[in-house]
This record gives sequence, C-alpha cells and structure tokens, in this order.
Amino acid sequence: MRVVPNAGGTALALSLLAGCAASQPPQQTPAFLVEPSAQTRTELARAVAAEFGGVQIPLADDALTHSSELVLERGALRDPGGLPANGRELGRPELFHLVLVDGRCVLIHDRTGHRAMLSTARCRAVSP
Amino acid sequence: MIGKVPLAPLTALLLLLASCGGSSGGGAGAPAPSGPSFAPESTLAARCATPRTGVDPITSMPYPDRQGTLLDEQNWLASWTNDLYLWYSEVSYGIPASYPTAIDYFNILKTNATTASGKPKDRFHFTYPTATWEALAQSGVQAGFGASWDVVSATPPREVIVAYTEPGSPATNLSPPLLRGALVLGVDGVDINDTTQAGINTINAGLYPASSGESHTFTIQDPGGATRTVAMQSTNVVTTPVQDVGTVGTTTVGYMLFNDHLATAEPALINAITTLKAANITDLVVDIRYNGGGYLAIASELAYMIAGPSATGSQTFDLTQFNGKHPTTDPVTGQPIVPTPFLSTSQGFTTSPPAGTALPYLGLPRVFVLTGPDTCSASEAVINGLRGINVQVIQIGSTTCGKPYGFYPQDNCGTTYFSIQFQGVNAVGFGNYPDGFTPANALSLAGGSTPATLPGCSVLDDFTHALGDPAEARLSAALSYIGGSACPAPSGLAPPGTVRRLSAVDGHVFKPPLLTNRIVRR
Repeated sequence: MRVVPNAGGTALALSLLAGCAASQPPQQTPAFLVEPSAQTRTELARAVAAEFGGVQIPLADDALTHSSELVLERGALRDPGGLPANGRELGRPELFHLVLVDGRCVLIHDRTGHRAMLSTARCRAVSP
Repeated sequence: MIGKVPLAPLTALLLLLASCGGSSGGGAGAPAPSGPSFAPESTLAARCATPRTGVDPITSMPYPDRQGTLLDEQNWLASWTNDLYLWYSEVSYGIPASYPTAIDYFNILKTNATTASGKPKDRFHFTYPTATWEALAQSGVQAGFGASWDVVSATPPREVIVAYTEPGSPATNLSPPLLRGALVLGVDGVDINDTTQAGINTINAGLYPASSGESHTFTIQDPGGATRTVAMQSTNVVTTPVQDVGTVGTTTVGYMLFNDHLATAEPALINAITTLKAANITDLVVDIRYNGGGYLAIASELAYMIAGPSATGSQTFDLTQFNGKHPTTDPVTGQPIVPTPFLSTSQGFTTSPPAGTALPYLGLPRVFVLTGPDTCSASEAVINGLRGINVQVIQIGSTTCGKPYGFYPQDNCGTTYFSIQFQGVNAVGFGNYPDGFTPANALSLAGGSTPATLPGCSVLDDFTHALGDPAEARLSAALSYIGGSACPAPSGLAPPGTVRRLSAVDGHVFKPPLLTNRIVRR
C-alpha cells in the first residue's frame, strides 16, 4: 500500500501512480473489489487507518465488494439510556471511493484527496 | 467493534482519566475553596491537569492542550455550562474544588427539574473519553450477530427477546434463522435469570460481543415454542437501516421499517419512496419503533419525501433554539441561526445519488408512525416537523422517548462532554415534548391531553408477529384505523414488565456499545 498525499492535486497524484508517462491524467473508473483475500482486507484496513493516524476502523468483511463507496461515521455510541449518544447529529460522514486507474485499484479519501494504491487487490469497474 | 475501547476497560479508562488530575483545591494554608470563577470560557479551555501531546488522529490537528490544573478544567466546565447549557439558570454551580475529578463536577452541572410526568428534565448528561467518541466505523457496522435484543425486563425474571434481525447476518444464517419474538433462555450455559455477578457478566458479554470473531452459544425458545441451543460467531454486521418496503397485502397502504438515521439511510429512503410511489400508495406507515435518531438532515429529507413540495414549500422543518444568551447566533459555529428547511435534494451522505439530486416524494396529507420508547430524537423530529406544516401524523404504539434537544459534543483535555445546548422547534414554534409524543386514546391512562398528544392508538409491541406483518398488533391497528375502525383498547402506557404476553410488551432495544455495560442486571 502506498499513500500519496494530494499536495499537488488530483492530476499530480494520478500522474505519480501512472509513472508520469502520460501528459493527460489517466482515466479513473469507479470500481469494486473482487473476491478480496485476507491480505487485501488487511491492506484496505491499513489504508483507511492511515488516514486517521493509524487508528483501526471497523470495516465489514464485504466492504467495497458491492459498491465503490465506503462510508465512515462515528461509532454507534449510546447514552446512559441506551439511545444514540447524539440523536440529532448535525455533521457529515467521511467518504472513500475505490477507482481503477491504469488497471490498479486506488482508494481515494474524499475529504483530503489522499490516494492509496491497494497492491494486492483485484478490482472491477462498476457497470454504468 | 465500533468503539476502540471495550466496555469493561472503558470503565477502567474513565477511572484512570478521572484520577489523573490530582487535587488543586484546598491544602494547608490555601485559601478556602470558592465558587467557579466564570472567567470567559476561551481563557480556560484546554488548560489541562494532564495535557495531551501530538496530533489528534481523527482531526489531524495538534491537540490544543496546555499545562493547567484540575481546577482550571472544572472552572472551564462552569463557564462553558453557564454560557451554553440550555437550562444554565437552573444549575447549582457549587464549589468546583470540592469535586475530586472534572467528570464528578460535570455530573452536577445540570438541572434537577422534572417534566410534567415526573421524569428528570435532563436525562442526557454524560461524557465519553474523546478518543472513544471520535472513533469512526464503517457506516452501520457493529460487531454482533445481527439480532437486536429487546430487553423487556433487565432483572429477574428477565425477558430478552429478538426484536429484529439483519439480513445476511449470523442470526439469519442459522437454520432455521433466528426470528423476531425468539426468547433468550440462556447464554454460554448461564441461565438468563442467573443472579451471580459472574453469570450476569457472561450474559452481557454474550449478548453484546466486543469484537468480531467471538463464539457464543444461546439457548433459544423459538416463536413456535421449541427450544434449541445455537452457536454463533460474531462478525462486523452491516446494519440495513430501511427494510421491508412495500405495500401491505393487497392494499394501497405502504409500509417501511426505518431503524437508523445512518448515512446509508439516505439512498435507502430514496429507494423506498421511489418504490412506494411507483406502487401508487394512498397511505404510508413508517415503522420507527426502534429508531433512536441520527442525522437530522436525513429526518428532514424523509419528511419532505412524505409531504412533498406543495406542503413543505419554504417552511421550517426544525429550528434550533439556544438559551436566551444566544437568540440569533449559533454560539458554537458562530453562524446565524437559520432554520433547517424540508430538504428537497440529497445532501451527499453517500455519493449515489450525488448531492443535490432531487428527492422523490409522495405528497401525502397524512402519515402513520409506529412508535415506542426507543423512538427518539431525529425520529421525533420527523413527527414534529410534519405536524408543524399541518401534515396529520397518526401515532400507533407507545409514548416516544421525549428528546427535542441536542448538543455539540465538546472535548476538553481528553474528555468529551455532552450537555444539552439547544431545543428544536417546528414551523409553528413547537418543541415542547420532553415526555414524548403519546397517542390520543391513551388519555384514559395518562389523565389529559397535552400539545404532544397525537391522533392514534396506544398499542404495545407485539413480538408474536414479524414486523410488516399485517397481523402485527401495531400495524394491524394502523390498518384498522385507515379502514375507519376504532382503536383497540389502549395498552401502550403500561409500565414495562407488567405485561407478560409477547403480543403486548414494551422494552428497550439496546444497541451496543453502551455507555454502561449493565444491560441485564440483578
């Protein structure tokens, strides 16, 4: 797994991933994971955790296998009465997306633009 | 698991945090302790007895902490409460230094007033370690078996019942699958009525596994009466926030079970309304009996999709009102206080559909809601928001929880404090339902009508039928009401545990992780 900061913007990051060979940013296509191995799930978990200082984020075993999107939000903490701690939540979730770039599976953190290549993953483009 | 700290260690961590501050009050020769300084909150914030160092992994921002004292933290709590707490004038601020920890002091910084029914007005005052509160998880993912337990009675004789299950979970993968109404008779060889602490710990640990991969056995009495012992291994179960969407039987009545205002509920609700619109329904029953709330914007979207553009127009769905010190500006964000409208487009909780997509709508003049004591916060906001624009809301079930309030959770020195800061009101300025919404025919039990009384029928929960089954007592009452029949005899105000028929009970569905691990107790 390789994390590429978005210092120079999306185009630069894509160029880095593509080996800087193209003058135009390579096409990226929304994708989902195909039969992820335990190794791939671990790589995905590490890529997500890397966005949050290494803090492990609970993910479903089938995360990103049915869609290209991964939605994170605060854990379902409860108040002393067993009800949601914040039943009137005014914030927004964190979103990640999986895309295919030159045959590689790349995870994008929407808020930061950071990209991580999942080197052990197999991806398939989402049907339009 | 969702939280980063298991429940039992969480208690220990709270104790550790609580003991880190030392004592800064009193001492030989020190001046006598006095009341709080009420210095400006900003001058006291992040002055910590034990400052954190480094970068907050979730926000990627350096911790703001600097060296201070326990008394600084306590004085900050007093100033913060005096500025932002909704009922700041009802607080006795005491002598901060007389409390051994900041959390101990925080615990007294609330009103002791009661509601008309005698409940504490503020039942929502608590703390979490900030690292626990900030921890993220995939939307709707929790370690468990995919069975939500309704604890009808937490003390012997205990009753723990399956309220509903998640598709594709260990509970539904059993053969036969675990069904709503199944009774838990024992956990890991411990009888459900065991009174030893060790036994209670075993029951709680089994019902609410701390992480995926835990194996537990359950002795179950299935709805048909047969008893069996099943083994399940916990997984990270994905919650399906909207289930059982469709018309009821051959009627034109639509039904949906809406359990959580999660981010993933946005596309699920859009799909549900699209389906029901295509079915040309003439009435809608929204089952929110187990929905404790979540994103307020999703509540607004649902209200819009029920009522449609003609009824909602530019009306207010919910207006946040702070205490009298902050009549026009949100004191936390610094932004002008503006109403939350009925949102007619998706807000980007997920990207499919993208933010700004026009929402489908039904344009109904009335809606039926199935409710219980777990119907809370954003779910109640749906009811209140629609009432504010004269959409008739007909309530079938039990009294809701009564939480028209909210807060911005606030970190200081590693503890996140939850202290009620605002009340939500609807388009006609109503938000006074601290005792919850109650169906009108419960009046013979409750003793009088209130502004939070809704037309409808008082009906206890019915675990002998599946949710969405027209024979289930609450849905059946709704269908009868639609058909012009009278309500069944009111039952929805019976105290939990007083009724022992599974066709008429009320408990709480506990969804871990809880602030307390005392789910079943002695």
